Order: sequence, then C-alpha cells, then structure tokens
Amino acid sequence: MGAAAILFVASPAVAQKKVDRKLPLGMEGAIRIVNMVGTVVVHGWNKDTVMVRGTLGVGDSFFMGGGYTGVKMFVESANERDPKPARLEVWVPARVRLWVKTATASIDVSGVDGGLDLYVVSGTIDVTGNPHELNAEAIDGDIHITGSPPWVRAKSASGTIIFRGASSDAAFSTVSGAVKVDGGVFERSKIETVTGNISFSGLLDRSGSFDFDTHSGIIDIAIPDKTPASFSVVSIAGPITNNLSRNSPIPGRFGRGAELTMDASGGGAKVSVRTFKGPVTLRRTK
Amino acid sequence: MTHEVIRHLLDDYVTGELTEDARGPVADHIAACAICGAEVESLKGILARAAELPKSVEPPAEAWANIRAAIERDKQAVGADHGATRRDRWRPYALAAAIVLAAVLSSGGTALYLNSRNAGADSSRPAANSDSSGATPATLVAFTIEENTYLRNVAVLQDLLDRQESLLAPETVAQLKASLRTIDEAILEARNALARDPANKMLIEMLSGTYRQKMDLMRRTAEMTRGS
Repeated sequence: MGAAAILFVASPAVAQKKVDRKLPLGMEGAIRIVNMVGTVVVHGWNKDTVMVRGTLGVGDSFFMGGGYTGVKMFVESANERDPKPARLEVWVPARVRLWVKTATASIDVSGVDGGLDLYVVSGTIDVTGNPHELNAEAIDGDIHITGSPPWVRAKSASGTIIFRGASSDAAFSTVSGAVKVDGGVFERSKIETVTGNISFSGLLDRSGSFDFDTHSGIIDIAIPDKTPASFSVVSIAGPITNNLSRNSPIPGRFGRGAELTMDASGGGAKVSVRTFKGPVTLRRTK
Repeated sequence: MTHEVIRHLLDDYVTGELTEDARGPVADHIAACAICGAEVESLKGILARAAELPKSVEPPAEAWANIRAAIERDKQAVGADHGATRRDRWRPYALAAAIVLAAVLSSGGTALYLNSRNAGADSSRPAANSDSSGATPATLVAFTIEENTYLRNVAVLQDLLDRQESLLAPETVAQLKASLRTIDEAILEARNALARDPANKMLIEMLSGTYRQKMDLMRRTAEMTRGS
C-alpha cells in the first residue's frame, strides 16, 4: 500500500456469518484482498467506494481497513489448519489497482480497468473486461481471460490458460497445462509450455513478433489467409505440417525433426516456433 | 489478530503506517513470535540499506572519455582483424575455453559439457553444424555458467520449498512435484540431445528456457506460501 494516509481499522467480527462493509476509496486507489478458501468476486463500478458483502465460516473474522488511497481486507480463519470457505463479493472503483491472493479460493473479476495482480494456488482465475495491465498466476489452477488487456501475463503449472480477446503484449506460460488463445489482433505474444498443448488462433500485427516454445506439447497455429508473416519453425524431433503455403519443411539435423523457414504474403510479422518433439501445425483460420 | 493476519501488516508496521489501535496488538505479537520478529528485523534492514543509498549516482568524470577510447580501440581491432595472426584470432576462443574449463572444474553440474565433448569425439557422428545458428565456444561458456547458476538457485529454492511444504495442501504438493518432475524429464531429454549435438544453439536456448520455467515455478510457489 505504502501510502502514508492509510488508516488501519481492524474490526474483528467474532462468530459473524455475514459481511456487509463500505469504505471510501479513490477512483485510482489500490486494494488488496486475501481470502484463502471460498470465492472472491470483484466488480468494477463508477463510485469512489469499496463495498463488500459475503459470508464467513463460523468463528472466522473479517478485517478491512485503509484510507482513500488504499484499502486492505482479509479473512482470518478460526482454524488455520482447516479454514472454512468465505465468500466475498466486492465492488471497487473501476480504475483501481487490484491485488488478490487466495489458496484454493477462486477469483472472478469483471469490469476493472486498472491493473490486476491475481494469485491463486489451486483456485480458478476468471477475468472479464479490459484491465490496462493483468498479471494472473496459479500453481495448478486454471486461468480464463476474456477481454483486451493491452498488457497481460498469465502463468500456471498444470492449469489451463484460455484467452479470448486481443492484446498488444501477451505472454502465457504453463508446464503441462494447455494454452488456448482465440481472438483478435496481437502485436506481440510469447507462449511457452513444457508438455502442454498450444493452440493459437488470431490476427498478427504486421510488425509484431510471436514466439511459441514447447518441449513436447502440440502446437497448432491458425491465422487468416494472406497474413503477411515470416515464419521460423524448428523442431528437434517432431514433425511440422504446413497448410499455410506450398513450402515444405526440410529434414532436421541427423535426419530427425524438421525445419521450415518461409515468408507468407511477402513476409511481415515475425513468427518463431521452437519445439523439442511436439508436432507443429500451421494452418489457415477456419 | 492471529499470526496469519499480522504477517500481512508487518510492512505497514515497519514503515509506521499502522494506526495506534492496530499497532499495539501487532507489536505484542511481534514480541512473542520469533518468525514475525525476524521478518520485522529483515524489513528494517532493507529499509536501512535503502536509506543509505545515494539519491542519484553521477558517473565518474572520466567515464565518457574511457567509453570513447574503448570504442576507438574496438574500431581499430576490427580493422586490424583482417591481418591478424591465427593465434590472435583464436585468442577469444582460448579465453572462452579457459573459462569453460574453470566452470567445468568448479561444478559437478556440468556433466552436460563433458558429455558433449565425448560426443564430439565420436567420428561416426555428422560434423557439427557450422552455420550461423551453431553454438560458439562463447555460447557454451555462457550456458555453462548460466546452468551452474540455475542449479545453485534451484537448490536454494528446493530447500525453501521443503521447509514450507507443510503450508501447502497435500494435493497441491503432489501436483507441484508432478510439474517439477515433468520439467526435469524435459531438461534431461534436452541435455541428452545436447550431448549428441553440442553445437546446437537452439537446444541450448530451449534448455535455458526450461531451467527458467523451473526456477519461476519454484519461486512463485515459495512466494505463494508467504504473506502479502
């Protein structure tokens, strides 16, 4: 939070089941929410107020404090070894900087245009809207994003990342989770997995750069016909299928794998695909 | 307030941003809790060190002159390179090889490089790729050093995660271990391939990328189990 003006007002609600609180918060203030188990649903609205409603487990406590520049709220479990689910629904000023951390609780954010930092261990992250920055991290939870954040980063290990929208700067990373991107125009993107499959269907900005890296996941890239792009596809031990043009991949070193370098429609967007042994398919958008 | 809640307030406590009514209970807890006490001392140390840093750092007066002179030296070196002796041209590689040797001897984690040398001695293997995408000695030096750094950092993070394991749900620990095993298998496969094809720059880059992913996953997990 860091703001000198922050006032912390702790108000434990012993054995309280319901939460219904409000605090003033500037339209571009900051808010931190911690709730380990249950759900956190956040809506952006055009008021300089934070409002929270929800339910807690018996014996759990809810703390909320802060000032006009920043607000924090936490759920404290009566039994930290066996926390009960808390369900929080929070309304925040739309341009706020939002930070949410949970363990197994799912996070659902909509209509927040400011920056988002969302962390879960095994819950699911759902974001709808156009935050100007979005950083979403999970260990084994899924991440679903629908919107057009100009800058987006999403990471999971075994969870799936699904992005529907557009972005000028996007990066997605998993270990075994699949990454599915389906959307509008991208200027720059980087998608990397270890064994997770990568599926990309979108429009490539002519001056953009696009990197796809995997060890053994399947890579499927679909772009509209006549997209100007320069491809560099290298596979150490996997096959490459090119359905975008007549260019054929050449065998890789030692007769294994394959390589394909080509300019489509005169070249343009730089597309780099690297895989150890995952099959790669380039095709036109259906 | 319990330990879990107070952990989230320590930064505001140290920077003096807690109001008096919250400050009292937090101070009482810190006095009784060794973990929070250590965290507060650590935060105070960071603040103290940050306060000692100069507001701005001016480059030394001779900096620009030195930079200009270095650029001129490089220009002359490039011009003279056409007439350089064979020994001069190989000097950077000899230096690189010396650094590789030092790195190899300094770590047990460089079986990769030793393997790659053995593979290079196999006459039945096709000649190493000599095109521009092939790895140079300098690339191998950089990678060997980078790999040693990764291995050290991974060991530190593993130690941290082992100590924090009880804070995670058993199913999350199992899932995390499965993910790390997946990464390790990919690293092993790529390392074996690099041993057969040591001049493959792309393999080196992929291997570096996989190491980075492993470190990133371990770091993120460690941070998840800490307070905000």
